Amino acid sequence: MGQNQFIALILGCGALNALVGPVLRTSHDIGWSAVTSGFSISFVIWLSIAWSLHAIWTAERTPVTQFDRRVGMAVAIGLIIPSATIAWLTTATAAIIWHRRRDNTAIAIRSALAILVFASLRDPISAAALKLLATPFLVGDAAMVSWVLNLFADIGPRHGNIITGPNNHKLLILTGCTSYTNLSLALLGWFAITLAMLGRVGRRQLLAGLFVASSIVALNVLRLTYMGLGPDAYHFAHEGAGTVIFEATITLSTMGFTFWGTRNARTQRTVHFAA
Amino acid sequence: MRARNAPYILLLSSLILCAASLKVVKTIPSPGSRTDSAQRIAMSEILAPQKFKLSGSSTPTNDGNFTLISYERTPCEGRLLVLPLGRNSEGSLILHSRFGKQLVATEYILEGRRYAEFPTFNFWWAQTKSAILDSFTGHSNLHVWAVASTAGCVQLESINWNAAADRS
Repeated sequence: MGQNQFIALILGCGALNALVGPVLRTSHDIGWSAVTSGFSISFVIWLSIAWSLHAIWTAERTPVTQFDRRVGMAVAIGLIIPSATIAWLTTATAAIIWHRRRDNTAIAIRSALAILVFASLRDPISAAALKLLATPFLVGDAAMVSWVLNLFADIGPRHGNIITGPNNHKLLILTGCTSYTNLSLALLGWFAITLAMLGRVGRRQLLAGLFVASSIVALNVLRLTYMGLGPDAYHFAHEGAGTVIFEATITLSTMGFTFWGTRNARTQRTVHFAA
Repeated sequence: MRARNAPYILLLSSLILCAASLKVVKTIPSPGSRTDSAQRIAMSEILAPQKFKLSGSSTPTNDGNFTLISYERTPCEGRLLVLPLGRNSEGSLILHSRFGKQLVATEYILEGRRYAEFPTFNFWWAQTKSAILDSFTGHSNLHVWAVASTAGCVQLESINWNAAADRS
């Protein structure tokens, strides 16, 4: 086994350790149909991790060093603690350590490790942010929704994250519906695709990331505004075909802006090489 | 060539799998329903010795993640309302929104202590500690209780919220 294969194996075990809890819980709850729902874990996370591990595993074979073995041992010790958060943090720390020891010529490996760091840190950071910053996230979304609703409907007063829409229809914005929840996944997708295609994030790609973030917030506010119009609109956007339309729209807008950023970068590089 | 195609394969796979997941995701049970009975038992352990009697429970939102539990204590005509919040402050204003001016007082209880505002940081810290300590022993079930009274004769400050801990 080479160095890169060893790293892929260790980081794969770390990610598996973090994911096994939710996977078993979801399987227990809904059986085999959990497979098609990604075991309640976003496919952006599954595919980012799978692509990164594949990229590291298929890289050149060089001898495993003593340092790698020590890091591997530390990861194994960290994974003994049966906590998904600690497994994610352990995996991220090991990926950061190995990323910093690679020189700038190993672009593919560095990109794969950077994607793994993002994917591993997303879960614990999101969990902490949605506890500590829940109120600003919820109230921020509610304020925007209330402002948009007020443009064309007669609405009541807003109390924090509770909006009173037309005909006294009350809408409570929950954590799962905030822009932040979709934003963190969309930005992971943007980051993973950009690094996988270019190996770097330049100005153009950062601009694309900004567009991704803006579009997610705007689409989410529009969806919540529609849900605030009345019970029928709420059920359509929350449980019906509106959910599919919303999911498809945010996926397409994220991919659209991300590929827009990477396509321009490739063109610039071609011109540069031709010159 | 393979590396260049990988992101596109990733995109295509995610779209197909995302569509399939939407069909089954609504069958996943709400995490709130698992903890409802545990919260009710814990609350009753504290309130029953203090002469409070369970008078009913309801779901104040259509999503079903919240359960509002009400208690009575004769001869007082008012009610004590309890809303367990297991995730964060997202449901902290439900009691105020639903009962408004009927409420005499609203507070938040975490580990037996009373707070005037939702204890965001303390709840996160308590959950983090609990998650690490309980990771070897079992599942943590820490909640903040939003509590409110609808009559002056049910005084939140006169209730011993730490009664369960005191007995054990």
